Amino acid sequence: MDPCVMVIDDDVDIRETIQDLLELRGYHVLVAGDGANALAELKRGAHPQVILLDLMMPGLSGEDFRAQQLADERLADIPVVVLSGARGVDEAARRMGVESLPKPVELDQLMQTVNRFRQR
Amino acid sequence: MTRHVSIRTKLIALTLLGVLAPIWFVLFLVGAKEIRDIRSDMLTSSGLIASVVADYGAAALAFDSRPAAEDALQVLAENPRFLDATIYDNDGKLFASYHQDVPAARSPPPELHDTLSRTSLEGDRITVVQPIVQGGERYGALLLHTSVAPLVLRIHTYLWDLLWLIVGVIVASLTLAWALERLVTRRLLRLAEVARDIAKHEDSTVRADDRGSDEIGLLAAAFNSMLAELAHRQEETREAVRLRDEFLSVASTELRTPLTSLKLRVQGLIDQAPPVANPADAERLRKSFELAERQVRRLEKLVNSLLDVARIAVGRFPLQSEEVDLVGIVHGVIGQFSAEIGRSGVEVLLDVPVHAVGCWDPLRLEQVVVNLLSNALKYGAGKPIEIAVHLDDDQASLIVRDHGIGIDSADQARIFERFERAVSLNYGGLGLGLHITREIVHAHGGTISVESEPGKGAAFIVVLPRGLRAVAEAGQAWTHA
Repeated sequence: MDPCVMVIDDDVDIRETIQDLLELRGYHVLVAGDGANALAELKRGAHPQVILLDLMMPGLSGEDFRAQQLADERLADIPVVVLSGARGVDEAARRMGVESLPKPVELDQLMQTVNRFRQR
Repeated sequence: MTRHVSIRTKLIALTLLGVLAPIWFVLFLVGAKEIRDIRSDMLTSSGLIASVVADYGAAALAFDSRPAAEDALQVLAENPRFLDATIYDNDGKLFASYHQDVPAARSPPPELHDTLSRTSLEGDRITVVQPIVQGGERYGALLLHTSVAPLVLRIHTYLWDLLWLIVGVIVASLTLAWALERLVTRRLLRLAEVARDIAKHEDSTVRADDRGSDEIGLLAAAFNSMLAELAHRQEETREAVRLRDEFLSVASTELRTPLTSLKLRVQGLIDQAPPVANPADAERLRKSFELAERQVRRLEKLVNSLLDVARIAVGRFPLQSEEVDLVGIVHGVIGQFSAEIGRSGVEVLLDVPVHAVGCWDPLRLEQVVVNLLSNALKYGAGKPIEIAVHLDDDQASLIVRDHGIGIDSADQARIFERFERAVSLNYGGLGLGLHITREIVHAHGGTISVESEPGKGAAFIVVLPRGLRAVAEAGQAWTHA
């Protein structure tokens, strides 16, 4: 089975860009436009190796999503990488106990990070 | 000149002058008249006494009775101001005399034969020569000497009174001046103090508490309304700055989103470009990708500058310091710029040790070198650029020198401020590079300065504390990059 990555971002271009790039490199990619849809997808049984999470989204924000994910023990172990252009992305990631990639990210950097979780 | 004399001194001087001048004038007039009157009184009373005594003496002379004449003179003993008195007969011979201390002069004065009485002030005594006449017949003359001591005493008393009066007037004037000073200058000084306080603490909410409706009260009210206007303008400026900073922050964040997909798409295309058969088309495609990526990076730099400035404005500029090599960073940046340096044909000369290790934020330090080198390339007029790193135990310095258009001395202070530039807008850029550079250097506890002469180039000197005890690296030599 292909390694799986979930991209949660309210910007459709970013979702599709990352989806295309990762799929070209052999990943199965799940996409969600906000935290609530992503949680619903995960609760239906999806279990990606890593979630790329935007912070500022309408509805359920990145931090709220992370809190609800941690509250569900079946989902709590899925690693999250914050991918955001918001100010204070490093501090937010530290608060959430996850790593971060600032937008605009380098393709190399994105692939290195995702590959790291594939090997786990 | 009087501008430099305090109001307090002026008030005292004016009060003293205002009070003392008329008093002097009045006292002088009154005093002179008083003394004249006393003198005239004394002369008149001496003449009267002499005429009374002469009347008594006339009978004694008529009957040639010396004891009667001496009795008449003895009346004068009752008053010490009569020094001596002598009665002469018509031949000028002494008939009878009285004297207090010193015996009277024996030789008769020449005026004895005058028919009219004569009174005169001579030295410290009044001399009266009074003919002794009865029933139209002249029997002789009386010579009376009276002391002027009472007059002198009156003058002394008068002078003492005058002195006390002047002392009293001076004390009263000083009190008056002090009261005036309290009324005027204290309030002015308080106003000045408020102005100083505002300047010192930059707190324009302070107000002068003078509630008077006199001129100083009006001044204080004008001062307060000026402060209110100032505070209002300050608030407007602060609000404008806040809005701008907020806009910068939002704009830089919003710009990042399209930039992210654009950058990933371009890099993805370069990574996995479809094969093109025609070599000319392939070359065109390669150039297009290269240009697209360069422009994306340029856009990213601009957006990052905006975000940095927004961070600086809100005071959030965290450093992630670690042990790094400044010389390594310099070489890295020159590597990044190699294409641009190659295109422009500029020679970059290096004067650096093997290593210059310190505890700094590597990404931020790289930004400093990038900003200074790109400025040198931009404004260096194609002439050689020198980059030097010097190291001592406690600090490292980085000097980037170009030989281009230079910076006017008037502009040198403001080029480190936000959105400032020393050159015309023709040169492009946001005017943020040196501001961010300075803030990074300051965040590291360092300093940045510029030495420049228009037309001769500029040297930017960054001095950074090393933040660690590193082994000094020796062996500096000019090398070509």
